[in-house]
Amino acid sequence: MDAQLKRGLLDICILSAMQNGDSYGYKLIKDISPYIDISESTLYPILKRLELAGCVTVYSREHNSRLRKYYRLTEAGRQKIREFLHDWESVMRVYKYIEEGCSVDTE
Amino acid sequence: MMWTEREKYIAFYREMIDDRIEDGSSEQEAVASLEDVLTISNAILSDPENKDKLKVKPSALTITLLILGFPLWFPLLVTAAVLILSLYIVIWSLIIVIFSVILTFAVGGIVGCVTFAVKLFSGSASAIFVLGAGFILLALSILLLFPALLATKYLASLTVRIWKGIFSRILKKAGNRV
Repeated sequence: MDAQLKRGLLDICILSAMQNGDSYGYKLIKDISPYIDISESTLYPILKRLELAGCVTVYSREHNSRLRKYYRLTEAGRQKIREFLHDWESVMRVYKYIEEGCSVDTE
Repeated sequence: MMWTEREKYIAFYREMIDDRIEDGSSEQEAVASLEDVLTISNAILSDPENKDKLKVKPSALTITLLILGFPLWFPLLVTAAVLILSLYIVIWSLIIVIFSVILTFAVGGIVGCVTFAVKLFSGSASAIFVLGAGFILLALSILLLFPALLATKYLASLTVRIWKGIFSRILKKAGNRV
């Protein structure tokens, strides 16, 4: 997958993974990996960026005698997901246009 | 990079390893499942958020102190540099002197042999003495040559090690600030 496209999708995937509840690093990777390739070195900068953008908030909670960082989706994060889904309709129109162009070429 | 940023990265990866262990992996498996250190460090360094933090920017106070203290630190720096250079010159002058002596002995030995030949034909009684002296000088030059070469090699490598040591300390200090 194109790196730029993947970068845009990863942000939304990470936000979506938190829609049903707060999550943490390893769980985010486990939830997202079946759909898109993601690693720890990719995840951390995205989480930092999303936190700076106000799309997630971070807090620590004790878990098995250690502190674990949890990420919570904010309203701004939900809005970003809605915007993505809305924009995707435009993307699908462009996709169909490109697909039709390719099928004309092959004919 | 600021120490707190470094701590955050370490805490993040430590948490990843702990969560994997909790999920059933062994410690070795958990560590192995992470990317290699080079990939992780490249990812950290290429993060646009860190690019500014990696640049060492002197504070206004540092710059002010540097300017105000210029009459003090600059002469000291120059003095230190001149002292080091002087020591360098003294050591290598000694080497040059030793090789000069060796060359003098060698030339004296050759001249002695040539003079012997001349004196022999002219019937001079001192020909044998001159030949003997020439041989002694030649022998001394050969005997002194190898220790001089060894000493030169040792001094050269010592000089290189000293400079490398100085530069690596400077680079280490700069790296620690990052």
